[in-house]
Amino acid sequence: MLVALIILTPIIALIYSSLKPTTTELPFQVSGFSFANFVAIFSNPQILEVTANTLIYVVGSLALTLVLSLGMAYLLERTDLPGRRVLGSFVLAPMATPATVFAIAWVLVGNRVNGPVSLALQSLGINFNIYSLYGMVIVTAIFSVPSMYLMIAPQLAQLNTELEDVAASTGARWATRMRRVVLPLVAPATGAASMLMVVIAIEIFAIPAILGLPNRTFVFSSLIQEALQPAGGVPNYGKASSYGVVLLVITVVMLTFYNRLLRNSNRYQVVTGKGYRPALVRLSVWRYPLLALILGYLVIGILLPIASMVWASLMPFMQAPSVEAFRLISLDNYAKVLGMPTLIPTVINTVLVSVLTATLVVALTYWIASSVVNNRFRGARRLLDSTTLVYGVPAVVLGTAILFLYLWAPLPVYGTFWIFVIAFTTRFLPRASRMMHTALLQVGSDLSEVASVAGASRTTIAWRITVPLIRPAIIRTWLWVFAHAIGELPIALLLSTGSVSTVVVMIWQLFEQNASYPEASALSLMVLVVTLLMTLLLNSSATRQRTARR
Amino acid sequence: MMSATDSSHSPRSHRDYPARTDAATGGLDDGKLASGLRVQQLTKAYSPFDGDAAGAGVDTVSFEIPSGSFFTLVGPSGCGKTTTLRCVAGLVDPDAGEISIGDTVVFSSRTGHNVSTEQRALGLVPQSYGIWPHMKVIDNAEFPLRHGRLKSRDRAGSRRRAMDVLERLGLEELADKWATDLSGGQQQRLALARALLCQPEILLLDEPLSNLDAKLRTRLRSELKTFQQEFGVTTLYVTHDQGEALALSDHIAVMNSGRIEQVGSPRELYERPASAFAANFIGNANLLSGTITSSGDSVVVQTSIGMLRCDARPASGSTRAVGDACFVCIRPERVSVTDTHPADPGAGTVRARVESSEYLGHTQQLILVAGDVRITAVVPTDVQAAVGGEVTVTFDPQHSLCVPE
Repeated sequence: MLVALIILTPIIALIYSSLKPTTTELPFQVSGFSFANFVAIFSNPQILEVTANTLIYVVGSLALTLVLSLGMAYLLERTDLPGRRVLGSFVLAPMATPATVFAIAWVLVGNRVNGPVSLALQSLGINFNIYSLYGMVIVTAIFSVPSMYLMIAPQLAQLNTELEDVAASTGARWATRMRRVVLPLVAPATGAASMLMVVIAIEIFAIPAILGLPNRTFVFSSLIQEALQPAGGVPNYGKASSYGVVLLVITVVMLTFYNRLLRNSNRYQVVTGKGYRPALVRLSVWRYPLLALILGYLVIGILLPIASMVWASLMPFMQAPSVEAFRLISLDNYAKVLGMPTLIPTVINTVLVSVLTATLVVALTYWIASSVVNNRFRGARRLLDSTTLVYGVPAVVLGTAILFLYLWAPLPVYGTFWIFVIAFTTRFLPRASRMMHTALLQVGSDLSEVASVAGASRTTIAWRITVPLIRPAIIRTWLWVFAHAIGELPIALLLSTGSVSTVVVMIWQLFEQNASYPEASALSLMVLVVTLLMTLLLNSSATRQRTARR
Repeated sequence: MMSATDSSHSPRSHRDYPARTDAATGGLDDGKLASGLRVQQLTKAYSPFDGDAAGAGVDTVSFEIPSGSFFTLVGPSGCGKTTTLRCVAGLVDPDAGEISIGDTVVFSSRTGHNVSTEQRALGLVPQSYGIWPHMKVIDNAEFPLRHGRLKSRDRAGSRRRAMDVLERLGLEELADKWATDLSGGQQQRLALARALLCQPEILLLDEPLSNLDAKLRTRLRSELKTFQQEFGVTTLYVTHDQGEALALSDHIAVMNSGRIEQVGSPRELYERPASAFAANFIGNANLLSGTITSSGDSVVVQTSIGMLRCDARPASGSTRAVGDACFVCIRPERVSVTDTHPADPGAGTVRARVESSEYLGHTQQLILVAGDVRITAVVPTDVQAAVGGEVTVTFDPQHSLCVPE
């Protein structure tokens, strides 16, 4: 019941709000229903522009991230590229980097005034401006590579190499083998991953906001936030919630396709032989050129933005790296950030929220997933599926819905960190319950059945058998939620008040409102260190599980 | 009839598999002219850096397959048999050696010659069959003709040829099914059809029966042999199952830790194993360790249960001199057991206690203990041998072999 309350009420509240004839008043204070909001947004020519922007943004970043992820996944999983293990972990390194931090780092390398990449391109006669639609596309694509790679790489790794070997033995050339055998076989998984990527791209807020707001290039997610928290002026709740419903419909459609694709992909499951061991496609002369290509991507896509951020955090004001500027290096910005009176309470609040959210999510998802696996009560399956529904709710929309709900509900959570915990738990429940469900499915029911035949109670089985067996998954889920709760921006932005906020919101304010880039960089780097640490832990516990299963 | 040597002229036309013309020759008028395979001094070592990609190494492996015959590499897992096959296929680059398919050198470490997999005239049936799950049965079979070495624009022609082979393998009714809807046995036949449609000089089969259940395995084993003979294609077969090797092959090479222990016909391998390993791997063998006390017309070996006389004909590749340590190898069915007690047990006759007995229907298997050695004997069911009782065991010198340690 509680889970249903957490999951479903925000969605109902959102739809309810969108049907209220309100603009500036809170939806629950207005009586009557109308489609006025929808009429308003659909008759406004802005919707065309925003739709076009969103379309270009989503399709563009999807295409770019697909090319990057597929190419690298193939090279790193199926060929004898030198150092592919190490490169693989570098590709995944920015996995838990908050989008806010990532976008700021790219502003630092790509802005026209003093960004090194932009300046280098200008010297080649190319005018590159990060504050643009294509800037958003590039940054989002690079930002999404780790998650896309994670979805595609296992598919490519599992694909029995004998399928490719046979094709080679028939005399088919490499290009034919790729086109006729490898790509069609990973197509369902790639398609499914793409659907998911579309949903993610639609809802990513920090990147389009940071790169689009300066020249008023809006996509749906940034428009909703703009409607709720305009830079100057009154929030338009009606507009926000009806845009939210539009966005919700789009993502739910996408997810339906995703689920269908996933189901169809079962036909493609390939039985591997007993003595199966991955053999590698030999690149011969192409090894080093391709290695250089990947290294180039890693340097420009990941290393350079972070380096620029480090540079900016050491400078008193923004400037391109130069020898003269070296004299100006100091840790003043760090001192300034640490000296801010709001920092300590904000950090405490962030840690508290993240720890509570991660723990709550792990407990809830374990309960849901084990109920499904053991068929503990009727509707357990439906409960798990209903969490997927929230998956389709973009963070901005979810934040809006929760804001409306608790402004109205007689629960005194607004203005405390509890509203963050509730919102974040709702937000991360779907992904986490999938992770947990997969892990529990792998354990298999016979292991716990044996224990119950031996006379162990259900609690004993959970505590002695199931939990120890899936401990790596539990740790991973916890770390994943923790890292993402730290980095969550749109919800936090909507829910934060003067007294309760999170670190990422603070970065946002330093960057957007105060335009103090060096200080924002310093704070970003501190967050980055924490999330990178989480990724490191995440990867190491993931490896441990993989070896254990073998 | 063309000969294999004039392959310069119309290189593959004579290897075309036409529609069924004559069941007796399988439509192949010159099946025996298919080129053979020669592997010389093949060496491949893996380093720890190869990680997951590392297989078992092979060490100076040499063998030759006469054209049209069925050659099997047999050995325990990790003996390098699959690595050898993958080197022949060009899927693994050897460190050293030379591989020739027919008259064509496809790999030579001496000249640096290395023909890529897609240009070698091969057909491959991998362990998992490698049936592409995103294609129909007919598309799988037709792939070599449409996208492979034999690529042609003639859609109708390639379809007809694919259908012909499918028909001959009894798959014609399944042509429009999804490949994943086939049973294990049908998948194997499809994989075979596809490999044959590559018009291979060498057909490579990598443990194709290992994923099947026992009953199906026996049936498909004879089926495979029939198809191979019908199409007359030179075949390199890799397996760890000695039963498959004996039943299918014209010649067998027993491999052990990257080396070939012995090459021979199934009968030679079973009746005259050249090493204790070969004796033990092909069939069961009693191996009694001892020392040679006399050689010449007949070899006599001193074992812990007494003097045993062995067959004087040397097994291939073994030398023996007085004083050498060796094993006396006797197959269980060559051990004779009686419950009579001759007053004067001569050489080759010992008293033993029956430790256990298993009734197998057509025979019985006895585990006998004489002194400190255990002897397995497979004897007719009318031999009286109660567990715990004493029997007389006779080793026939004709069937006792002296193999090197």
